[in-house]
Amino acid sequence: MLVPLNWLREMVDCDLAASDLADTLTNSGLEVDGVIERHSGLDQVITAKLVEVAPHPNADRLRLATVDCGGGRRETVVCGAPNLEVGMVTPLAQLGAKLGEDGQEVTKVKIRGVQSCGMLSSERDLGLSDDHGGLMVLDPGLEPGRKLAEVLELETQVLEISITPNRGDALSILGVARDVAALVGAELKLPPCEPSEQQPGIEGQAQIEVLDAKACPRYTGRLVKGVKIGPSPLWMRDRLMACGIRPISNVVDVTNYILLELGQPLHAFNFSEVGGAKIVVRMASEGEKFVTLDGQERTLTANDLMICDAEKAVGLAGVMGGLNSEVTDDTTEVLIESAFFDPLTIRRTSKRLGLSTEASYRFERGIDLEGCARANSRAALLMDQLAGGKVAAGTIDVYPVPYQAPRIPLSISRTARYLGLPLTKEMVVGQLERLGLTVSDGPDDDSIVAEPPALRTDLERPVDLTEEVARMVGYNNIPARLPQAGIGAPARPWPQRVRALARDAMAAQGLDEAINYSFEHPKAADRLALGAEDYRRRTVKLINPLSEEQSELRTSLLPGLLASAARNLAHRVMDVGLFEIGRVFVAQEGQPLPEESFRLGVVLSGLMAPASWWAGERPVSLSHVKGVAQYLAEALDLTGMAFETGGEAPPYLDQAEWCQVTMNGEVLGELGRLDNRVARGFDLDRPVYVLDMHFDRLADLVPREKVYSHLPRYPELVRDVALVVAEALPAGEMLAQARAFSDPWLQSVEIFDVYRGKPLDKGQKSLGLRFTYRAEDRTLTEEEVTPGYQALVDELMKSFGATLRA
Amino acid sequence: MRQELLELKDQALAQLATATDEAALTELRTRFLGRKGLLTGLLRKTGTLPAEERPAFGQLANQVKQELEAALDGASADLVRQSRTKAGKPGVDVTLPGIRPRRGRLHPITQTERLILEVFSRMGFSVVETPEVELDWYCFEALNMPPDHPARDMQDTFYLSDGVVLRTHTSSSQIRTMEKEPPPLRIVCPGKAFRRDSDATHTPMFHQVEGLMVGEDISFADLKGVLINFVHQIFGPEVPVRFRPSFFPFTEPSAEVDIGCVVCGGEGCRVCSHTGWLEILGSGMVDPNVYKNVGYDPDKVTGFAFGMGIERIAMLRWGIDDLRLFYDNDLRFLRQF
Repeated sequence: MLVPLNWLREMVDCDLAASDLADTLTNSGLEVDGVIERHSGLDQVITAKLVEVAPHPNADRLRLATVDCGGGRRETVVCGAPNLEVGMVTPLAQLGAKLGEDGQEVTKVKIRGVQSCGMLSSERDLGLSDDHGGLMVLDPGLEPGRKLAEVLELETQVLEISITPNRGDALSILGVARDVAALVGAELKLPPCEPSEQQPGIEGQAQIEVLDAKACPRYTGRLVKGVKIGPSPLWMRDRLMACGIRPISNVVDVTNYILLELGQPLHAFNFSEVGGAKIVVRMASEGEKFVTLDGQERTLTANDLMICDAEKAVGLAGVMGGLNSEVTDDTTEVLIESAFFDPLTIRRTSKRLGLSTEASYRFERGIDLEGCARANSRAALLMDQLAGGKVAAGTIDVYPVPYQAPRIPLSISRTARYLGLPLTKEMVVGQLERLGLTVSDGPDDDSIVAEPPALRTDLERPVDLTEEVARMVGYNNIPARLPQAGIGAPARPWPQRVRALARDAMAAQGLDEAINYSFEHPKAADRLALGAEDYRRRTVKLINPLSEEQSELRTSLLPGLLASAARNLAHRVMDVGLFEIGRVFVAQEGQPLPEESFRLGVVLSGLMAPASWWAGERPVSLSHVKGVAQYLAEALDLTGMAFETGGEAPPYLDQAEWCQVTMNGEVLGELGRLDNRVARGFDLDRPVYVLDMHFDRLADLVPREKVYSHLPRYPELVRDVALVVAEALPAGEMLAQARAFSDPWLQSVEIFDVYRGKPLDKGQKSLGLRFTYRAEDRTLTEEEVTPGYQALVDELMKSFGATLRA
Repeated sequence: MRQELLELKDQALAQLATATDEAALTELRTRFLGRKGLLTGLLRKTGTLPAEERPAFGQLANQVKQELEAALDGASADLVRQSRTKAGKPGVDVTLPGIRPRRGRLHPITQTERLILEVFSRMGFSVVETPEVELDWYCFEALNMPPDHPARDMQDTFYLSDGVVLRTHTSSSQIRTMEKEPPPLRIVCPGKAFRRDSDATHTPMFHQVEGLMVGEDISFADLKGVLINFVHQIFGPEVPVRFRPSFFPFTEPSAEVDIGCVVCGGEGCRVCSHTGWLEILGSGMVDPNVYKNVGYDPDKVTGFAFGMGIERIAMLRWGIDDLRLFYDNDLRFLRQF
């Protein structure tokens, strides 16, 4: 909300500078976002008295005006305005003044050969209105040389305040002034609210009937006759503009002015259009149509509150008036509505219609039930003063159940304990009374009973009062201490620990961690070429997404990772190794919530290691992505991770370069090379390898305990062999068979070399196997090991048609 | 004889100064210190001295011997060093970059989340995680935001179906935990949250850490103590902290916590909108209505809750000025942390 400072100071005696006031308000809960400086261009604009007018020697339309600038200084200014009159006081923009929206500077210029020292200005020149009919005419009694902004009492400083939803009472200048008064201990000054009543009483001229007292607990009406529609005075227009409201006409401006000043939304009906001179407040009928002030036709429901006359609807209560009863240039009689509408009713209507106005915003948050009549009278007073209206005597006030303040008990000691702050009863009572609450003694010495004024709709419970006390003391004056509590700190839950270990293991392998949105494009499943029955098609859709590409929740990490890889390639970062551990969401039949599970995804592209002085470049390969999985298994102490081929590859993987990751027969995921067509769909035009695993399943398998094994007492004995086999033979098959070979001393078998090329034939390769032997009880000799070794080599040669490499 | 000994020493040192290779050094060592060397020869003559001079002479001779040995060893080491420096050992170039595997990086969000959780873990808070897709009850209603509450406007919500939302804050974790566990409680709940907002300062997904401490007589002063301690551990003990009243439906009183701008030191700059302060977290005393909703007795327990944006803290820590960078996964960005 925007709060012009002069206006605020009219209601509370407070001479704090804008920045100090801002701090005070911020520290008490009305957060000042900034102080807006207005009219800074008018700094060099002063009042000037015209002392002489002479013709311009070289131009018929221009004249030379000599003005008294105060302090005995005179200037001559070239001027083309039609309304020059000796003795008039008018604004002079001196050299250096910056005028207009673009802040054009007034400089010393020669106009048709005559030097002009400044510019006499119209209201439009000064940005005060659109009036450019002539020079702005000021009070001739004004002394020359004074700053224009001061003379006109323009609002040059405006506080921009964020009002939290609980503080509907602060949505007005008065509301902010009330807090200021309580905080600095100054007096609050209500603006005059007693119009002189020069017309016969409103009773008999107008009638008001409220059919739904719950939706409209109070409705007041006042009648002003003989108004003359015209522009409002400058000061009012300036204040409205300072608050971001466009001035329209005196009568309409008055209603907006009161809304800003007192927080009471008003409506001015063109009384001659109010059929039967009667207002009826009722709920709309289902499907009723109504054209609001903005020219839109609205379809209503039985939950919308309407303001009607004897025949028709004339306003959408609390939200917007109707086009049919709008105040126009010809309006002479005005019926002013100042009412309290039920916040929830207004909120529902406003939300449903998507129509939020200054009025609905305030009604939704609760206005001052007790202030309706006063605001109405103030409006009548201003319409008298500014539009020449004659105010009919009296107010129609339909207010069947007057405000009854809740009686809120408060324990002083409990409040002190709650805040951790020593408090006395006197302090608490003083603070609450400064905020306008009525305080009386409670049943015992420790307690009081407080009754908030109607405008504080947020105060209902003891804890609400506790907050007011804290606010008035100032949060920064409450001590800080560390709580007393047991030192117990439970260990982190296992899945969290495994995720942390896994992330570290991935980073240790040179992969960078990605975080992608949980949203996904509905086409993602198609882009992965997933089958119709694939579980990843069971997506959860957003009802109100921001865009189509974020309209579902992801069921796989791969699309996000692939898109991230593509973005990097587009930036010419060609070597990409990204991983992500995050949740995916799969819809569950008959359940309101989807299944959320963690998955691990990896995408590799480009080089695993760039060319270096010690090794050539290593482009990513299936072995790399497999190695990522194996390294992770090792880091998590998982044994028995297996990589199975055969079966059908997931549709997004290259059928010839993939495998399934399993453990103890349970499928954990897949890895492999991304199918070329799928890759192109993600704007990836080079080999990409991916890994996708069900992380929760993996984490469940991670052993929570380890048991130490004795260190071997005797040395191991190593035997190597190189076997030439057909190129097509998967090395893993030979490895598996070797490992399964029964020999009590054989500890491990590893492949240490794969060789192709001369002198081998094409279609052949050599596999280098390393056998490690060890006995628990003694040092083995070559002779002991040889028979077993020979038997194993023979078996392998036989099984795979292998020959010894020469 | 004493004189002879000293001359011998000078002679040896003079010859040593002109020796240019290992062979010359060996020759010198043999000539002077060898079993048949000059020094040994001189020592053999000790017996010809008067008895009272013998100890002093012996001592001096030993001293000379040690001195010469040290000089010879030093000269030998110098020669080795010189020869290495001149020729270099083939294949070793210490100026080449070292051989090392590339280290990947954890996402800055992960790193910052770990930092925050570590601070609270040290204060005895345990870490709880709850779903990202939530029932209205956990995200709003139990947090004292009934349907039609104006506070729901503060957070633009993504809806998945009637009564099912993407959580707009990690505060839902409070309810889920209190429903399951009796007081006292001390928890922090990290995770993703979602709001229907996207511009330079908002992304539709972001990360938060929620905190909750509930027990007997936990006060606003405790809230201040814990959060000031947190701020000081993250941003340093000199950083000023201020608390100001605000509004969250599930806390009362509610407080916004600001720290003195870490960029300008409170002078006022673009980052702090010239206020000298940066908002870093929201907090407050848990509203009694929340206790009622989870079956706690509001007359018996009190406590506080807080929530902070991980991105916000990461941005302040590293001077990151664009929120969207966190989700682009641009390696030129990720590799900076």
